[in-house]
Amino acid sequence: MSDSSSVKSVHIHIEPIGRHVTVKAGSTLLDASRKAGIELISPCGGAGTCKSCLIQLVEGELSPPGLTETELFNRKEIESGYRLACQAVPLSNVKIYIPQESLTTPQRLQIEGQEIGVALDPIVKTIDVLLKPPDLNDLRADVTRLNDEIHKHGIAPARIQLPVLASLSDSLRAQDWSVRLALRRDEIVAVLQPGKSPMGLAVDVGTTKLAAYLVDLSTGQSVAKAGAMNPQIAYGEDVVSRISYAVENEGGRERLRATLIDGIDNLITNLCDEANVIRNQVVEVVAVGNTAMHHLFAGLPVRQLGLAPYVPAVSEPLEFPAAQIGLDLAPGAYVHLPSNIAGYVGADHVAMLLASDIHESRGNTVAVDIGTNTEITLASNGQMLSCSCASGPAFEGAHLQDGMRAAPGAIERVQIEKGEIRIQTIAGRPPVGICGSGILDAISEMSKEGVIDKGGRFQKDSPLVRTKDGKEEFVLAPSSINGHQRDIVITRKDVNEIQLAKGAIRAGINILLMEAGIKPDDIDEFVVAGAFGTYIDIESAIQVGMFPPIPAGRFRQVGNAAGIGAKQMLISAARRKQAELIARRVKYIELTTHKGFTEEFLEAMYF
Amino acid sequence: MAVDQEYFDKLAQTVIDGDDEECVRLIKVGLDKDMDPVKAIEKGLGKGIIKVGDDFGEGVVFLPELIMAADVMKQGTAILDEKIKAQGLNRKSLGKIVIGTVKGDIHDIGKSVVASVLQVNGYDVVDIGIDVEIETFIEAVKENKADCLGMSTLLTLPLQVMGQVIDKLKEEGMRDNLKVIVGGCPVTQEFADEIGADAVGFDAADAVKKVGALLGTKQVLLKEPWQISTREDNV
Ligand code: B12
Ligand code: FES
Repeated sequence: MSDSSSVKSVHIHIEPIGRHVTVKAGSTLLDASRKAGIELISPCGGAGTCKSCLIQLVEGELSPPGLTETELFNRKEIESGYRLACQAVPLSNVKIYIPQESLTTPQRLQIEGQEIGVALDPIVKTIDVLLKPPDLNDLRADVTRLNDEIHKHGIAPARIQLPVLASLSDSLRAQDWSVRLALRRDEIVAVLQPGKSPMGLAVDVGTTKLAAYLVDLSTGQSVAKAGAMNPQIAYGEDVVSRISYAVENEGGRERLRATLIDGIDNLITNLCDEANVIRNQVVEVVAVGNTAMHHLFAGLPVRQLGLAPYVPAVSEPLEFPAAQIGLDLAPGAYVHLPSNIAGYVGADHVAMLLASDIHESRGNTVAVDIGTNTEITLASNGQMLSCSCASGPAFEGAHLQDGMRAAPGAIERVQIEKGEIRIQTIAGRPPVGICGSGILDAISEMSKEGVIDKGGRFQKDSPLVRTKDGKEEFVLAPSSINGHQRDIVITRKDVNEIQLAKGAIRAGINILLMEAGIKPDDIDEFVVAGAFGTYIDIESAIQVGMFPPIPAGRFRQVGNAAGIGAKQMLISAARRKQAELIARRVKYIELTTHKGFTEEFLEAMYF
Repeated sequence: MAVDQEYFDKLAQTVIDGDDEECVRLIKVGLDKDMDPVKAIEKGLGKGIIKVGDDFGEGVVFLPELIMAADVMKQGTAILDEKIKAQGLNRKSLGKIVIGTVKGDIHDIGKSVVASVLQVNGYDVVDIGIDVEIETFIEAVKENKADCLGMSTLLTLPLQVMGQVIDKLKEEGMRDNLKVIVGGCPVTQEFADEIGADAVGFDAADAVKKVGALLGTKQVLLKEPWQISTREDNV
């Protein structure tokens, strides 16, 4: 990284969008973001008066805060790196984090998913009771009174923990002795007002994104949903760098936990506002995520997940009071964390398998969830095999010359016909970079049109290939049509990155097929889950060889199936049990020691 | 088939094509005809792998070709080396390098690529594999009287292990006579400085350049790597 005094240009890494940009020394961060095609809210036009262009410094050095900023922020905020983008000038290469509020158009987050009807059978049930108030002839304590009453409903004396107890007496009196009790098996977890529904919260804790659903446990319906970036991104883009952060910094693990809980807490506020629900009504949480997210969320140690042989601290389902990890909900609310399968196959994959019901499929079903780590499961003749492959963040735009996450202005579709390139961007904005589905399309079209050969080499005689600084590249969008003044290109290195990523995924699929003794053509159904998987063009994925060449009709893109699975576990105790059984039934195939992996991987890198 | 230029070209081609079966078959044919095993490496296999190595550096071939070529090369040299030994000959090398992926990491490919490219460039490379314990590095350096140690990792966490190996080398008084080069995607120049490594290699070609500089061999992508000498020369 360059030294502060002598630099002529500086490199800015912008999270959570994942854009990189180089600007002249002396430019403000607001200029830099614009140059990267990212619009920050800036009604005062950079005068430093509207205080809208808030950002957070993650790494590197900025000009010292000026008067406007020292007035606006307290010491703690300054220490946490909060600055105004229009005022701060980078003095070295920096990494910054742009909070959602400062962005003009939010990133595209996926929270939809196909729902599957599930019979309502939540773990938390309610009963309405009307108690006779105490008088001088009836001096029974509040809890005794309550237990005597619920006994009449055929329910044994309930357990009640201190936090619930602390609010019980006041609630009873405030509500004229008429209450709705939320019962979790034999424990009272909340004392609600009559008529108020108990609510559940399902959270999909992704490495990059959070998705949360508020579900009415008396009807099983989602009443609100919300998505946000995982704010832990400021501490590292992928799972491994976060594990390293947790291990190498004092208090790092706790900081990651607190940051995550903060992010989820914000989502809860939004959800409750939207659905007109109070936090006290939220009585149960189901959270799913990869094993590292699971551990960080629960405050468990993660060091062992970062080093071979990558064993989780726990694989069994976990249940604990929400308050223990700092979630502010009903006083007795619990968190349920479903099983995870291995160090790199987490509860989110279990939830996805549950939601897509592949454990019940008769034939051969493949289910993949593509991310920096791609989890793959093959259900074949009653057995289920899973593996995880390190596909890397290329499909999130990382390590690509003009890569970016799926946000407005990202090229998401590409077509080449008779030498003419057609592109489509998110939100129809002028292009600023390429996201995962776009790069997949682009490379598929490039290989179809003979711009690159089977090995990924550029064909020098193709009219679409130009040479710059001795290296070939493909111009996807010339500067004339762009949201910034540079050409958007695909380089040989970009092609290689995609070859590594798609090669790893295909190798994983092939190994599972081999283990089950079946051929690609025997696959009856191919389920593609997750944000990236929802937006990709299946034909492109087949063309580049990421997926095996089977008829397009056998593919099913299911959206955020992990979130749906979490919801199902929220409203149905039976589904919860089912998830546990699935996790136990899955046989984990360790690719790291698999003899066939390297050969399959190398083979799969070709187009 | 005679053991002539055409034969050696064919042998080189098996490496370029990554065709191990054909390579082994050709070598057997040659040896049956009393071919000089030293020449087979020099004019055949070596030529092939250099072509692939050059093309890799220029982005003309990608990983799969390089790895397959290195694999064919390995199989071929194994047979020929045995013959060379049996005839009382040995190969001269530019230096001895021990290389491995550190404890906690099993990523094999990058490290193996670097190992084979170094080998092709005339170094005597001992690849001690993956998930290598600190102690094992120390022992391997001792046992092989290595001039240079190469450590690889692609994972962030095991990075620390590299520093620990260097500390241990110092403790054992072995650091001064040994050059240490590190590599893998999370390894930066700053990190290398911090842990006291002598160099960092960002890719295979870079590794050759840096090792050359460290060992004073300065052979940057040597064109004729297989300098072979007979025992008589060596006395
Ligand atoms: C293939 C691969 C695997 C294979 C490994 C197969 C094998 N036998 O090696 C499998 C699937 C088994 C695997 C597993 C894992 N992987 Co992996 N893997 C990859 C992948 C896709 C490609 C790596 C590769 O081979 N590159 C090609 C080689 C040629 O390049 P290279 O290794 O960088 O080497 C070059 C240079 O770095 C340099 N070099 C390397 N070593 C040295 C040494 C010296 C001395 C010198 C001078 C130079 C040098 O020269 C080399 C040649 O040019 C990358 C993603 C990516 N796109 O890079 C992830 C990646 C490295 N894996 C990753 C992870 C997290 C894992 C896992 C821990 C989790 C998982 N399940 O996915 C496991 C566990 C591995 C383990 N036990 O250690 C992460 C690391 C992230 C981080 N911040 O640490 C990556 C970056 C993907 C990601 N972002 O998620 N992986
Ligand atoms: S743009 Fe208004 S304060 Fe920065």
